[in-house]
Amino acid sequence: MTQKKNEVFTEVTSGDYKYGFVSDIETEFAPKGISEEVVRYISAKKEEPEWLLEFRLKALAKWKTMTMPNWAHLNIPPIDFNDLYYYAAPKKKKLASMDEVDPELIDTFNRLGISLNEQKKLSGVAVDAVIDSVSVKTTFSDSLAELGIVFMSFSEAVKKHPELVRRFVGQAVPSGDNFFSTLNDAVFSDGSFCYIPKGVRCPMDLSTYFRINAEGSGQFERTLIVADEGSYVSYLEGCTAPQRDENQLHAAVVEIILMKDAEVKYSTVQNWYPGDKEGRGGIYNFVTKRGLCRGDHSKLSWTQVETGSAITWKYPGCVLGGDNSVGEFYSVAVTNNYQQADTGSKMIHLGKNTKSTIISKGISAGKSQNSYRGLVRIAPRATGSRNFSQCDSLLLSDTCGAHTFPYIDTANSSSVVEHEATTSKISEEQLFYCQQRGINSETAVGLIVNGYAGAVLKKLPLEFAAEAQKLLNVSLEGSVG
Amino acid sequence: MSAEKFLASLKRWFQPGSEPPEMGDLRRAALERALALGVPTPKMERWRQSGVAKVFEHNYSLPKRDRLPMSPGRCQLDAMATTAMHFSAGTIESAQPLQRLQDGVIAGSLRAALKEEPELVQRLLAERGLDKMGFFNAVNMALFTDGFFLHVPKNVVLAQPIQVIHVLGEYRDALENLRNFVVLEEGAEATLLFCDHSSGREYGFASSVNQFEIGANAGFKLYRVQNLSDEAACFHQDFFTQQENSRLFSHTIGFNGGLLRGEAHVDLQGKGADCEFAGLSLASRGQRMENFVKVEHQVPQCTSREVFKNIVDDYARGLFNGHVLVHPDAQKTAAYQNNSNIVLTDKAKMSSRPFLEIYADDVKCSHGSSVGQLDDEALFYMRQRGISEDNARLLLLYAFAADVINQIDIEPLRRQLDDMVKKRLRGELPSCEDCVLSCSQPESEVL
Amino acid sequence: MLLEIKDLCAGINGKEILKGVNLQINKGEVHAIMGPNGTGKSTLASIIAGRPGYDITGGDILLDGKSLLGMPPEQRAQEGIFLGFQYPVEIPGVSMSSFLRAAINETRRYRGQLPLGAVAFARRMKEKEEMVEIKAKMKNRSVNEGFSGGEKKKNEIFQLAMLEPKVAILDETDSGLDIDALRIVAGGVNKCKTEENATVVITHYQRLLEYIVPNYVHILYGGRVVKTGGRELSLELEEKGYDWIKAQVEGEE
Repeated sequence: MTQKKNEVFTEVTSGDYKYGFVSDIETEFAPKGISEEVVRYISAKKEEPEWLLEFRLKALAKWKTMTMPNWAHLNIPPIDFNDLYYYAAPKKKKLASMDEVDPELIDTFNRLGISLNEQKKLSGVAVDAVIDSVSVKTTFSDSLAELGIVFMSFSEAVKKHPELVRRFVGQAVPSGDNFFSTLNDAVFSDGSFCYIPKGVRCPMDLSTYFRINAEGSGQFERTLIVADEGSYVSYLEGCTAPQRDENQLHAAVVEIILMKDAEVKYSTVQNWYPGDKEGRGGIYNFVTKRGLCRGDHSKLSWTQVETGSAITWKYPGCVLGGDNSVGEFYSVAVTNNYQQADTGSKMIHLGKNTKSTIISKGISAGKSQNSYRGLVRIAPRATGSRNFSQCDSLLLSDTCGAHTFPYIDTANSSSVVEHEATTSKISEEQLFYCQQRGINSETAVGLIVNGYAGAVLKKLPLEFAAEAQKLLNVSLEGSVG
Repeated sequence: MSAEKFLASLKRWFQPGSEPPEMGDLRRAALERALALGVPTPKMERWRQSGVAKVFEHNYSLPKRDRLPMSPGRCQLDAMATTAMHFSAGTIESAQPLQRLQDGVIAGSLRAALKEEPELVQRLLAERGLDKMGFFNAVNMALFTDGFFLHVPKNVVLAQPIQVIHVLGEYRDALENLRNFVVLEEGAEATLLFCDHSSGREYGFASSVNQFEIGANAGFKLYRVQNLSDEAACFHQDFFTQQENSRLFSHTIGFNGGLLRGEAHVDLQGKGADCEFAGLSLASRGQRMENFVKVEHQVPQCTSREVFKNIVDDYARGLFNGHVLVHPDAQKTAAYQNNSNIVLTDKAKMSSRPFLEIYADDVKCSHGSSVGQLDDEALFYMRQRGISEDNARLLLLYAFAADVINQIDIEPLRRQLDDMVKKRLRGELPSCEDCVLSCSQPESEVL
Repeated sequence: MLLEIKDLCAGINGKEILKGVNLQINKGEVHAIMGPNGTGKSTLASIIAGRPGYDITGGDILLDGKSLLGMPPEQRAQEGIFLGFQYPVEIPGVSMSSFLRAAINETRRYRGQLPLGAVAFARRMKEKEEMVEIKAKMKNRSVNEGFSGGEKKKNEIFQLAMLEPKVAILDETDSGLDIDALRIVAGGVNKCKTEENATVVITHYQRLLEYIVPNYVHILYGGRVVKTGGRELSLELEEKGYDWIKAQVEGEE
């Protein structure tokens, strides 16, 4: 690579984080650190029933015996789990209407481009906004309720639909599943809950926006989606965080349960603060997302565009329990500067004739490390099953790394698993072609990367796709090589 | 035996004996290393899905010389001129353990070489350093009894292949450690055929560590045939270093064995070096066959290709663990990795981990892994022509294996192994009590 | 009677495709089965040959009075059924010669004959190559691998000649052939015809029937033989198109 091109690439990829503002909202914290006391504090704060407190305490006890996983291709600085706030909430309490929402908070959401205000119904997306740890406002709840759809904050659901929450929580991600999910089990603060009743097609995309605001706080939200027989829902998740020098921890859990013939599309655009050009600050994003396709012919599709976070550790998976169930994973992961990502999927085939598809596009720039890690397991009784995985990596600099770590276990004689991967650098031929037609290199890189990621981007709902495309360009501003 | 017992026994077995003091120091340091590392378990990332635990279930005894498993000379390859070296019960079977062949080529027993060429051999032994040594390598260094030594001077081309036959002893719970060294100076060329067998039906564990130094412009071909009893465990670890424009071709067929694990570690240290791996594992009954291949591209313009195939039948298990590591300066690397597998029953299991780890950008790296079964349409087509289902399956299985067999460029060897693969697929090739190469006569018929 | 199909009803995945097919084929005859797409022509051929996956819900298929239904595909082949595939599969790694020798010798063993040795096999091959005027692509080539569409079809006919079946069923053997290849393929089929065997040609177009002249033409429509005639029926069909048949059948219903 020539010196000049290096400069161009640096220019293209070193874009600044556009969501890095801090909102000045009065915040209420739990005492710093993690202990039984803090867990009880959180549970009491949320007026939780006894069973949920027990669930938390059991998890805490288990978590204390666990050690942080070290198998990922990540260099994680030591985290002092006792130097974090596990609960941070905007101070205002019960909100009767939008007028009572802190204007500063509304301003925050406006700057994020989220229509929290129900008057802006035109945007057609029902939103549950989680700021720091607490769900602030759920829009469209009422109109959804008419269809029998429950869409509200997790804590509200614990109060209003305790039987549903109790029945399904921990089904896809069992208590004690892994280090980070167990931490979440113990200290999760809030999140979204969604139940789509039998045969209902949710008429609008449901959406959650996560934002970490408070300093030194961790965010541990928990999302639970239950799609009953024959139902359908498309769910969007967006994330941002302010720019801060220190690292912030985000350890969320998303669980999705699908009954017979149900279909769920879960799309994420993750844009947590990635840290600055020198690698200072940024979010540690250690997330457990798993769907359980319990019913026959159910279908779960994960689509993710990951551009943010200093460190990402995330493997959205599908447990294909029902016969003929289908799991899909479409991912674009971009890392730049000093970002590290170890992300991929887990497809566990248990039912007969189950199918899964994994399409992963990794793009590394700067001094970043970007790994795909994926597990495909075909159980002995998952006869007639099929997996296809395609994992491609694109390298935009000679100082970054792109890695592929597939794990394939097959234990029957009638299934077919195919995995393919390629790693290469961005084509100079393509770049030159664009440039020759008068396109500047920054735009050209954007075009090529968007084309490269196209197969995944087109799986996103329309309004999200446009945003994701912009985000890719911004994330790579100043990079290619 | 448990892991603890194994570690305790290590100390008991350790007897440096009559070797030069430097050698004793090296062995002692290796022993310390092994004790410090502790035994590998399947919980460790590198040993996931491995059957390694089996190795620590036995009460081992070191090689005994009281019963020779076979007489030298029976292990002949038809129509293939070779220089044969036999190792059994951990030592070479030869009146003349170290031979001086053409043009200054030295070949034979490592022990003998240690006496006759102490400086050269000790330098080689110490070369790789202890800090990277894995458990079985360290154990091997502490305990190895003998091994094959080959030194080919600059620009010498070995006239004929050398066949190195290792037969695991017949006594129960044998533990044999062999260490083999091959040095090809600049421009040298050599072909080796390693045959691993077991002489009895008792459990035994053979562990070999093989160091291959391939000089600039040198060419090395390594064929390995493994046919051991279902009770035997056999691990080999190959360490290749390759200098500028050197060429390596490594070809392995695992026919039988209770637990066969082959590791290859390749260091591409000189620009333009090229390596190629071909492997075929045919596992049935309760056999486990594992291949671990790590290719490190340290410098620019090197190429590597790997094709590993597994057929896993009955309740057998196969494991492929591939790892291509491209270092930051290794621009213009081309690396290809392929692992194709056929799982024949619902009790058999295949695990595949084709890893790529890449720190340079101007590279062309790809890998593919597939697990499947026989093509139904092809089966029907053959049956429609009157071929029975069993034979149609056999033909397809053979076809799957054929492109690995066809990479063998010594025709008599190719024919013989081709025939053995057919017999193995038909279930007619036992893990022989004698050397399989003498009991297998190529057929003229295809089926 | 050589091959008799009686009231054959069959389907796949619960969908009924054949709804009572009747056919009688005698030694020395050539039958053509025509009909629009998706009426069950290929299904019929597949079922006669015993392709797995179909459900036979009624009727029978008799070869020389012996029912084929309980037999695996290889036994039907050994009894004398040859299916010329519409899309011959490529089998990488399996050489043409080992494939064909296995086919011939297993069939011979089934019939209580001694296997053909290498010399006899080579002689037979040469003989048949001359007879059908198709040069076999045998040397070091895998079955159908890398063959062009035309080469695959010629290879089917060469195998037909080598295997000498009682009944040859040729499923759209003309599809994808240019006029020269069509002439060679048809010529090969005609050379294989004897007083003792029969040929069933499945085709869309009557073009092939100019070269392989049928004694009978059957029109399969909606899973049944709706019309049987002589050579002239195919010409009528060519002229009027399948809509004519559709109109007739629907008119009757």
